[in-house]
Amino acid sequence: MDFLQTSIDGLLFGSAYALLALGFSLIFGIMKRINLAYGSSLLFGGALAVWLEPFLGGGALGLLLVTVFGAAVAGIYVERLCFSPHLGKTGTMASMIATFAIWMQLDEISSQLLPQRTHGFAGIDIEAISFAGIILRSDHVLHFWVAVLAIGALYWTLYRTRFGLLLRASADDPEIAYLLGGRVGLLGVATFAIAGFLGGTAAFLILSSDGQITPHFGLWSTFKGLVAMMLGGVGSLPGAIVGGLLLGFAEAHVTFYLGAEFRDILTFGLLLLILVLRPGGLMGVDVYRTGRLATERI
Amino acid sequence: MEYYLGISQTIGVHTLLGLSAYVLLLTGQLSLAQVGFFAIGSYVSGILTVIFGWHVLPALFVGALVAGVFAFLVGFPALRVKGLMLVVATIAFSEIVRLVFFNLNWRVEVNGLEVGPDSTQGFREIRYFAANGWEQAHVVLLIWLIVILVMVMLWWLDKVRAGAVLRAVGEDELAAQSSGINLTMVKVAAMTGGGVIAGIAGGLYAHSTTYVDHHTFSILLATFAVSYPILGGLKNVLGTLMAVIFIQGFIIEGLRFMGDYRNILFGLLIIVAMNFRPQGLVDGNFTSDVRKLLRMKQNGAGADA
Repeated sequence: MDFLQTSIDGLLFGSAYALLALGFSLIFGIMKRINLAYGSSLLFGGALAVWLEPFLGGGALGLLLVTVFGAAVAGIYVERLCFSPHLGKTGTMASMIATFAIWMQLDEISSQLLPQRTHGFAGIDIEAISFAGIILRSDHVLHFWVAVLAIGALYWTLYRTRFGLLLRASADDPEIAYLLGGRVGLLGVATFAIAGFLGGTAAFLILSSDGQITPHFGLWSTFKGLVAMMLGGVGSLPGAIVGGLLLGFAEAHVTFYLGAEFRDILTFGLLLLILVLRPGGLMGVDVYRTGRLATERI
Repeated sequence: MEYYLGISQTIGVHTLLGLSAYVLLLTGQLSLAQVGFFAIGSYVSGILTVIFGWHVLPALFVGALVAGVFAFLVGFPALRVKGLMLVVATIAFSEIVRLVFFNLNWRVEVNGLEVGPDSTQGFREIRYFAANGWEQAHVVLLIWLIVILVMVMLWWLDKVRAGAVLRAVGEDELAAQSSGINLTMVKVAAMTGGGVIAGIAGGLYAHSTTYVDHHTFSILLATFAVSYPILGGLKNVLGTLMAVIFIQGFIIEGLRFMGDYRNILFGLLIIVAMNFRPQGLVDGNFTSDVRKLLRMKQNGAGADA
């Protein structure tokens, strides 16, 4: 019974990780770049929401909207300053260092918005559901359904609209997409905005379920998103979802059986192991195989 | 005076940390594991002087060696992955090291005092320099001697074949491999060298501040370490030194009057620097400009005579 309960708790919480990972995976898949400022832009959204709370009506919905908006705006800011000036092949390092600088900047702005460091974040009060001896925390159930909705919306956008087609084409090969008449110029901005929407939703869910926000949230969510994305597979959207659920599952079990101090060590250990054994992630491309194929032809 | 000595300590330690990332960047590897090696170096050498009562120099040496051994061991599996995957793998390594030290509790009684790493409280009693009558100026001298030694060694490396091999791997792995270079060996060697340098930096840091804890070894420090050589440029070691002086001396110390808003400006300045000089502050143009300037001066002097 404990096992089942822990598994369900972990999977439900993992759905928020899956959203974080999806945002990361979009940027990674389309820009082929790492965005160290991702968590900080989510923190900025949350901090903005807390700061504006006295002027906001609408309770939780208002907070959600401001968080998502703030995260998307911060994401576009990151794209304009760190990614679009360094598009060439040699720009990978330059853009990573630039995102590092923006990370420091956004963290500082957020700390200024949160002068007491730990601020309350209004939660959603719904009673817990008990079913056949298993207790479901209702905020976690809410996570799950919001995540399902957001993932559904993302899939619809990517696979059923012209814009999604352009996005996927550009992820494959931006030059060909451009030659075929796609407007790829502002695609980066759109990608970061979508990643901001997904990440902002995840941030709202996690913050409201924790009931508080601290400046540590930025780096924390960068790490969780990165680990979940890497577990599942780089640039693969189903991989990001599986990775998020797996991370939630593993964390819940380690915390339950071994204690909280082992949780992060084992998370990173798992990440290292998967990267070494299968560098593309569980559901990503098999890096070795493609590498072999590229050289074997000769 | 003490203030300037303190800054020059920080600049020295950070230069070493930057140089350890520089060695790896020459082979095209972007590694955030340097802070893990830094942590290993500082804890090992700290434990040796505090608990076992060693002299500081052999302790630093052994700390660097242990860090190098770990770099060697991590090098083999980690270097199977490339590019951004390597960044993530090395982040994972650094975090694991940090979390191990976060949980490390090894208190022993030395001369009636309980000393040693105290898990979350950090490692507080690394007072070798103060206890043995070293003045701050001596400590600064030691740090800078080591910095200069490492810089001269890396400078010399560029003049011999080994440096060319490192840069060849960084430029084009396939071409390097087809000219008979063993990629794994070169990369692991660079990783080990970088680990040793980071280990020394860690030992020096621990002894000059007398106190380390897990907050010191966050991924933020690792990002600083790689941003020095990237910001400075990979043309030569002076770029790294210039970038450390620019960030630590100018932005962090020079803008201290701005208080908390400093970090906001910090971000902006780095973005501006990266946009104007994507190849780093000291890039090919810069060195050739300097050379031209020097030549012009010489010619001018010759014309006068």
